[in-house]
Amino acid sequence: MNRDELEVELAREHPDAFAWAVRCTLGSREVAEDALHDAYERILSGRARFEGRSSFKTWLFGVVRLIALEQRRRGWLRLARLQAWFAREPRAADDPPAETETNEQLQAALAQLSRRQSEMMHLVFYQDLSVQEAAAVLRIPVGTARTHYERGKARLRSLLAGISRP
Amino acid sequence: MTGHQPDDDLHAAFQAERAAEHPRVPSYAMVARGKAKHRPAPKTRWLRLSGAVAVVVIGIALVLLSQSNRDIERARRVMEGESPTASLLPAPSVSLLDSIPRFGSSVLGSPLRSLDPGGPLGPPLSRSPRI
Repeated sequence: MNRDELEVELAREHPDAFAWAVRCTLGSREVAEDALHDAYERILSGRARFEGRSSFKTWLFGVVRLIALEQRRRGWLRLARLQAWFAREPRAADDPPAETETNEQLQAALAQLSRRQSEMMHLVFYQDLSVQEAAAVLRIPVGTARTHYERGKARLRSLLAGISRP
Repeated sequence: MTGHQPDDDLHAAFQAERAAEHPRVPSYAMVARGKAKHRPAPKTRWLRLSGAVAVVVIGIALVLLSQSNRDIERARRVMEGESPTASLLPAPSVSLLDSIPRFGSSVLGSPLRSLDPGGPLGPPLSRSPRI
């Protein structure tokens, strides 16, 4: 793939890649942007090469996940959260609401899952990947991925039922 | 992928989230261009890194230096220290151990002289008239 083709692919997958980056950076949009920027830079400069062994989306998500992990290790997440906390401003009244009630419930339930389970739920239900593709993104065996998927799904369902119950 | 029960409810919940999220995603061009505000410029980053390394090196050197000074001071105190019973150790003949022995001379005189009267080292014979 040449640079132009890569740009087209990246732009096409960008919205989903951003959502995945947010998930990988534990909900920080600022750090997700940084991670995604790094990922795009590495891909476009050829430091990360697509070999065609999986779909482009699966490969891209794997790269984003690794970079997000690196960034988390470097402590950018804590710094960014601190910066965001100091720089936070009250939301204007005419801004659209960030999340609907359903989304808030879903986020609250996802926050209670283990990291792997939460990632599996996101990859399968949000990104529409198969369990095999999700396993490739997370670099874990398919059997392990399936276990995380089943347990995560059961737990998520019970959590959502608990939240929605009055 | 469907499991034991249909996952339509979860799928619908996530897709609702996806629909709400997509309009809020920053554009590809903006993310690809990057925002430099989160990171220090490369030069500043190197400067900060070298400053931090220098501080660490100086800190380690100071710690080692103070440790070495403490060791020297301790050794000096050990060398200068004297036992409370050290005054009991000297004996009258201790000075003999420090002297270098020589043939034909002694600081105390040779007691063997009396055993060799008339000899080269002994006392002279007294000549008394024979009766």
